[in-house]
Amino acid sequence: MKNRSLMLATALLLLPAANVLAADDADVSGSLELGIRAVDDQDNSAKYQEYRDIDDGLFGNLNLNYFKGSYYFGVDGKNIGLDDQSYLFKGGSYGQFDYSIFYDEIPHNLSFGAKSLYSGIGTDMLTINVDPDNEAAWNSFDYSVDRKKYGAEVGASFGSPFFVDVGVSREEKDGLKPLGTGSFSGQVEMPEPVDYETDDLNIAGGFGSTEIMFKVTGMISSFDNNNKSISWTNPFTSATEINTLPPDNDYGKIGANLTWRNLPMMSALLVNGSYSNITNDFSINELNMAAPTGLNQTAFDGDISYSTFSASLVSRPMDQLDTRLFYSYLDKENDSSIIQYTGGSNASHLFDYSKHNLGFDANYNLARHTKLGAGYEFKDVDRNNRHDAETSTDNVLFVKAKNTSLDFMTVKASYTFLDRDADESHDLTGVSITDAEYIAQFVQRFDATTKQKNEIKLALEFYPVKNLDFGLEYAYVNNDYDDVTLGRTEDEGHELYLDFMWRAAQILQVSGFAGYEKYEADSNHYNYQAGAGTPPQTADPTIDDGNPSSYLWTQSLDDDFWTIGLMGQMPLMKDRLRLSLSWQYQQSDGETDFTTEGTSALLPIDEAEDYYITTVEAKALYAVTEKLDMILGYIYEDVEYEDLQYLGYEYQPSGSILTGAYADHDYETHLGYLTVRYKF
Amino acid sequence: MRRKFLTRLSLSLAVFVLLFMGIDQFDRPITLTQAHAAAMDDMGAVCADCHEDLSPAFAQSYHGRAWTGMNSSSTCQSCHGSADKHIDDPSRETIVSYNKDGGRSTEELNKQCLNCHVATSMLSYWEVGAHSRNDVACASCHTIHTSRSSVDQLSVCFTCHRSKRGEISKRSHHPVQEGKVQCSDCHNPHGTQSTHGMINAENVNQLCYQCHADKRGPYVYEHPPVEENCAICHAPHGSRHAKLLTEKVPNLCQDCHDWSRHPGTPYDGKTGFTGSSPSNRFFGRSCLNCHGAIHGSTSFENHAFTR
Repeated sequence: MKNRSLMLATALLLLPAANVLAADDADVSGSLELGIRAVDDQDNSAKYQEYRDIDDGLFGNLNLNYFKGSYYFGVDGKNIGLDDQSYLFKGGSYGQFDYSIFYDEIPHNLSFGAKSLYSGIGTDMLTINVDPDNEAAWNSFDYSVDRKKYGAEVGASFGSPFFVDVGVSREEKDGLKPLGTGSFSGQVEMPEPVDYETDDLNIAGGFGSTEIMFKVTGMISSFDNNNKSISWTNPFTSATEINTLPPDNDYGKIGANLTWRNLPMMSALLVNGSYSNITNDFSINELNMAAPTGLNQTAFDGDISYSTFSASLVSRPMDQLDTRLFYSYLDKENDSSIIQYTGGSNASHLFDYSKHNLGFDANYNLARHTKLGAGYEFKDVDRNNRHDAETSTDNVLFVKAKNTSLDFMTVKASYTFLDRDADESHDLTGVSITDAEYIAQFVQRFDATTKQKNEIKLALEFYPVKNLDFGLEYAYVNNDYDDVTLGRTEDEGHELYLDFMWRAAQILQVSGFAGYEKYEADSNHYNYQAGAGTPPQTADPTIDDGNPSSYLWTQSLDDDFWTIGLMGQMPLMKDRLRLSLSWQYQQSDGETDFTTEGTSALLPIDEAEDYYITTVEAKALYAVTEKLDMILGYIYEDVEYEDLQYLGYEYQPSGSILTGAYADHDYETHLGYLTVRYKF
Repeated sequence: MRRKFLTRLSLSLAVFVLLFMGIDQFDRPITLTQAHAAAMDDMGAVCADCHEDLSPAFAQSYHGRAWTGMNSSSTCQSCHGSADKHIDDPSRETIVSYNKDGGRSTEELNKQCLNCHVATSMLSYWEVGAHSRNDVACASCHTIHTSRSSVDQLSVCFTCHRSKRGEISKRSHHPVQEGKVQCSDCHNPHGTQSTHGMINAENVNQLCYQCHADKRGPYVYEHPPVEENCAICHAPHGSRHAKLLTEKVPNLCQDCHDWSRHPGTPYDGKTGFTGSSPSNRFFGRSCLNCHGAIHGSTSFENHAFTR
C-alpha cells in the first residue's frame, strides 16, 4: 500500500509538468484519475483475481498527450502500483519516426490457499519434513504466476519510401504452478517453480510504394528457465526423484515478403518466405539425473526448423469478379538427437511434417446487391512418426452468398464441405494379438483421421429504424469420423448469438446480447489388459476374446452454454450526471453418458464443469466541472461451480497426495469504488 | 523488487521531463506554401460553414494533427472527394460519405483511404486478407473524426464477430476482457499471408510460442499433436473447460489414447472423490495428475510424460 501511494504521488508530478509544457505553445491534454475501492472476500477464490489485482485501497490511472508541430508524445499508465499495472510512453514525429517504451504486468492467479507436505516450495528441491498424515502441518502457499514484460520499439522512415523498425523486450515469469507426477506406487501433485526469462529482438526493414512493397524481417529470441529440473521426495517410497521442467531454447527467424500491385487485370501478387530455427542442448547431468542402464547418449541437441513459402495472386479480371489463387508450403524438420536404449525400447520418436496448401476462390457481384462466392482448397500433410495418420489429404469446397439490396438488412450465408482422407502405416511385425501394441491399428485420432466435415454459417444484420440495430450469427459444424474403430466417432456444434442496440433520442441507450452453444461428441473405447486372465485378453476390439474383463464401451458428451447480457445508459442530468447499468449471466451445463458391453453398469456424470456466473455493474458519472468528474460504482460477481472431479475434494485420497490446485472455484464478491478524474 | 521498480519509474519520469525540455530540436517549423494554406483555409472554412461540429473535432484527431504537423496539402476533399457539386447540392449523393446510408460501395470508400495508406507496411497483405475480400470498410473499424487513434477492439471486433464476445467471457479465457490481450496481438485485421484466421504468424504454433516460449521445446520425447497444432487441444478464444481445452479431461485424452490398462478404462460417475470407486485417473486434474509434462519431456527416460 505504501509503495502504491508513493507511485500515485509520483504520478501527480505530471500535473505541474503538464502546466510547464503547455506554456511552451504546445497542445497538452490528459487526465489523472485517482480512486479508492473496497471489496469483500476477494481472497476466497483465485478465479476472481485470475488476471487482475483487485483489493482494498487506492488505485489510479494517468494519461498525457503532447503535440507541438510535427512532434507528439503520450503517456498512458493504468492501475498504477498494482500487480496488473501497465505503462506506455510513445512519441514521434509524423511521417518521420516513432518510438515507444512499455512495461506491463499480468498476474495469473491459479489457486489461493493451496497446501503441500513439501518444504522448499519455490525452489527446485522439495523435501518432506512433516508427518504426511498431519495435513494441519503442511505448508500453505498460493499458485500464481506473475508476468512482467518491458521493452522498447523504434520505427523510422524519415519521409522516404524506406522504413526500418527495431524492437527489444524482456518477459519475466515468476511464481508457482501445479505439477502432477506419479508412478504405480502413487500419484503426487507438487508446486513447480516458475522462473522464466525471455529476451526478444525484432528487426524489420524495407521499401514501400503504391506498386511495390518489400520487407525483410528478423527475430532472435532466447528463453531461459532458471530451474531445469525439480527434485522431490516420493512420499510413497521415500526415494528422491527428478522431474524435468521446460527446457531453455534459442529461437531465430528470418523472413521476407513482397507485394506487387497494379499488375494486369488489376492484380496483386504477394509472396512470402521464412526460415526459423529452435535449438537447445543439455546433458543428463544438468538435469541432476542418473544415466539409466542402456542409454545410448547422455547429451541432447535439440534442433527444429520451419521453412515456409506462400504466394497469393488476387485479381479483378472483370468489374463484377474478383479472384484469388494461393499456395502455401510449410516444412517442419526435426534434427534433434534421437535417444535410444540397448534392446530398442524407450527410444524417442522425432515428429515432423510438411504441408502443401493450394486453393482458388472467386466472388461475383450479381444484380440487386447480391454477391456470390465459391472456392476450392487442397491440403496435403505428410507426417513422420505419426503412424495413425502418416499422410492426410483434404479437399475443401465452399459456397457463400451475401445480399445488401435492402437498406435495412444484410444477409450472409455460407456452406463448407471438407473431405479428409488419411493413410495409416502401422508396422506390427512380430506383434501378437495379446500384446498391448496390437491395438494401434484400431485407434484413429480425430485431429488427423479420415472424416467429412459440414459447416454452415448464417449472419443477419437488421436496422428496422434508424436508432435500432439487430444482429444474428449462427454456425453449425459437424465432423463425421467414418473409419474410426476406437476414438471420437462424431462431434457436432451449434452456436447462436444475437445482439441489439437501441438509442432513444439521447435519453436512453440500451444494448444487449444473448448466446447459446451446444457441443456433442461420441467416442468408442475398449477396456483391456493385454494378455491378462484366462482366456487371455486380446488387444483386438473387433472380436470377442471370451474374457469378460475386456469389453467395448462408448461415451457421449453433451455440453450446453448460455449467456445473456443487458446494458443501459441514461443521462439523469444533461451533461452532468449519467447512469450506467449492466447485467450479465452465464450458465454452463455438461453431461457425460456411457454405454458398456462390460458386466458393470457405468454411471452417467451430471456435473461436468457446470457453472453459473452473474455479474451486475452500476455506475454514476458526475461531471463536477468541465475538467473534473467523478464516478461512483458498484460491481457484484457471483460464481458457482460444480464438477464431479472436484466435489468432496480431498488432499490425500487413496494413492494420491494433492495440493488443492484449482479447487477454489466459487466466489461471491461486492466491490464499491469512487474515482475522481481531473482532465487538463 | 517493487522498490527497485519504483526507483526505475522515478528515473524514467525524470528522463521524460528532460526529454520535453529538449523537444524543440524535433519541432520542425510548419511551412505551408501559400497555395496550400489558401486551399486548406478556404476549403476548411467552406466545409465548416455547414459541418461546424466536425471541424474542431477533426483538428484534434490523428489525421488533423498529422496533416498539420507534416505540412500536408490534404484537405476534407482528400477523403470525401471533390466538394464542387456538394456545395450546390448538399446531399450524400454528391460527396463521398462514410455513413451507413451514404450509398457508396466498400471498394469506393476503401480506395479513398488506400490512396495514402497503401504504401505502408501494415497494409502489405490488405488485398489478400479476409476483411478486404469480404467488403469490410476501413471506416467500419476506424473513426476518423475523433481524437482517439486506436481502435477499441472489444467493441469494434465483436460488432461482426458476435460469437467471440461469448467465448472470451467464458470461465476459461485469455485476459482479453481484462485488457491485457487484444485481438490484434494474435490477428492482423489488415490481412496476413495465412489462409485462415488472419493470424500474425506462419502457423498456429509459431503464434502461440510468441508468448508461451516455454512450450517451444525442443523436447527429448514429443507429443505429436502438441508439435503440430496447439488448437487441436486448446480453444484460444475461450472455453467452458479449464485451461482453454476443447473438451474436458479425461475425455479429450481418451479420444486419442486407448491402450492396455488405464487409458482404455471408463471413468464414470463412481470415480470422483465422493464416488464408490474413487480413481486418481479421474478426480482433480485427472490424466494431468500424473502426466504433468504433457507438452513434452526432457527426461532421458520415456515415462509417458510423467517426468
